[in-house]
Amino acid sequence: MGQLLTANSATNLYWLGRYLERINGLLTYMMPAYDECIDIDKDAGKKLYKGFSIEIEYTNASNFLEVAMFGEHNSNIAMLADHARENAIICRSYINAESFGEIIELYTILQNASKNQIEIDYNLINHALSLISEIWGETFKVSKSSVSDHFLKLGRLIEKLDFHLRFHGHDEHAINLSESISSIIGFLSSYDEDQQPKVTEMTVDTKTNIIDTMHAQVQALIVS
Amino acid sequence: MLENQTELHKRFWEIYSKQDRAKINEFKKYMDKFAINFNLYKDGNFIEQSLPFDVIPRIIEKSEFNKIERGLQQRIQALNLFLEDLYTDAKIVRDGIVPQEFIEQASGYLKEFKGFSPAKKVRTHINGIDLVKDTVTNEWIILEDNLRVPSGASYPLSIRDTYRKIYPEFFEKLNIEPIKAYPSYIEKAMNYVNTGGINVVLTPGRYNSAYYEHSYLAQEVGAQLVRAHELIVQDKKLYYKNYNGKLIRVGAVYRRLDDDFIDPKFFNPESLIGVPGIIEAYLAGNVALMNAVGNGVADDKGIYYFVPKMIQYYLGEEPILQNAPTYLPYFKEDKEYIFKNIEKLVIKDVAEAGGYGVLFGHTMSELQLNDLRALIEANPRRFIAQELIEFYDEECYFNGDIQARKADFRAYVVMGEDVKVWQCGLTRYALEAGNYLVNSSQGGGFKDTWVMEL
Repeated sequence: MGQLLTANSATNLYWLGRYLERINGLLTYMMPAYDECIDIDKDAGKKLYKGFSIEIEYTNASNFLEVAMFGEHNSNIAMLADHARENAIICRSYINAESFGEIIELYTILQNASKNQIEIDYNLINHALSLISEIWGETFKVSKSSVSDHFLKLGRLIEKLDFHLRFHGHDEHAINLSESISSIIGFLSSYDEDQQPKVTEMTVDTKTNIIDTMHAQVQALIVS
Repeated sequence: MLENQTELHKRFWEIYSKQDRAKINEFKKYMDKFAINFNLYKDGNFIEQSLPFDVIPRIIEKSEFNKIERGLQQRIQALNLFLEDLYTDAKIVRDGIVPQEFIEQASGYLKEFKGFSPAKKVRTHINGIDLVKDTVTNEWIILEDNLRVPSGASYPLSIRDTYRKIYPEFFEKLNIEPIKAYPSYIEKAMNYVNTGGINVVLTPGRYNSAYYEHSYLAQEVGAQLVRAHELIVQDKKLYYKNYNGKLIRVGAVYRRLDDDFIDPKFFNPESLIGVPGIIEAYLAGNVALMNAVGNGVADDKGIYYFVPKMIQYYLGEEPILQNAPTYLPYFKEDKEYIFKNIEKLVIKDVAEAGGYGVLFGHTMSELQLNDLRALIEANPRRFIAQELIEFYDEECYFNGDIQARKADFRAYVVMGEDVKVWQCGLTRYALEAGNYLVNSSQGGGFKDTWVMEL
């Protein structure tokens, strides 16, 4: 019998993938904006966050990092890490032990930073980014992915696509990401533990609501 | 150095003296990193915390442990026979070994289950037996039987892996029993009683104090971790709901919730963590529940008094391990003794667990003792009294200093086709000097337990 997974675990794995990638994306995009804020374009941070539909105010480059990471908005990274930790604890029996440990560490350093117990600077961002790289590395180092890995990957790719569409539009890379997502959705929707998996071709809506469409497809996969 | 030190302890201390003490902090880091938690509710708040861990292990000589093993196998066999008998023929009551009144007043006794026999007549699948080593007799004494949902095995299992990484020299040079077999004992027991289908671990959910353990054991045992709404009963059969809507038959449930909450259709209708109809499936013989429903009667501290008699009655043997000297105020002579000696006894509420409902006479004022006498007089079945066992301290590491603390030992016994005693256990110690309460829910810490031979 293949791997079984409850709807709750599938949902938590999917959201774990999304939150981790959201943190990764935010920090990755934050670094060049921070650099520009120093002496090229003081408003680079505001422009970046406008892409997330968030209005922020800051006084200088360092303050941009504080506001961007831990300000009162729905992309607050400590809050996202808290969500990721909750998801990980709920479905920890499906997560590689090392990955789980790195998620808790990521949560801890971001919580400490949000309480000013760690300096908020490029070192913090690098540390967080390297932890996320380790999490993904540990998770996907096995050659054969399980159903649980696919849900995690699905969340990660949908979030990646979201970032890409916001800042680069619907280009070739976006199409590649969409195809990868469709392939996983196809696999999971036809997955039967007694049979070989069948990959189903799916049409991806190319209009502005691609992410919503894909999210809805994932929700349809999971029968509560 | 404590008085009960053996050659094995000396060998431990020799290696210990050469180790880098700074590495002790690694244990706490490891437990935090992997969220090896025992959660508590305090003043209405949910607190996630790791259990305090002490690096100095409890060492038990293999020959000594062999006796514990035989004694526990004997005890669990007798308790299983008792429960099976009680819920079917009740010969032990008819033969006057255990008074009928005692059974009927036990809060864990479920008369609705009279006449029902579970799969393979196994009821005591996973058991935690609490023992201490008496300084007077130098013998291990049974303090309590936990035959419902004993917790704690995952903590020594998790920490042993870390110990081996941080201080490998102990394991290279000392002959320490390996402990990884415990999940396989559970898996085999589940497979033995399985009525056809997959194995699952039923957890109340993420906010339960032992959620870490539920998750860890499910993974190690190869069972699915589920919450109530992820299971469904149809035609008196239990099914697991896969994410894609497919229903998979369940044959055995290692449930981590008490009888009262397991089925809102049968027990507490307000339970949100139970599976509606699971008892119907159980009574139809379509699923095994581990441990069996109704085991609470054997956890009752009043029934504990009769366990040595059960061993004689069912097995025709003398108990290998003794109970603590216990008095039942239900019996007139015992009550008189209790009232005369209450200031030196330990009084326990029979239905409580986890260190709750335990009163030490020597710590109470005369006024409090009189109130307690009145309570006992009004409801003698509710209490037992025990002689205070002066059990051995264990050495514990506190900020560079070695200090003595009271410590008990929870042994784990798994019953399937045969009865297995895990070659480890949970040694729990009190954080404060002189405190006899070592329970995790009372803030106690834990140690690894090394069963060793020279």
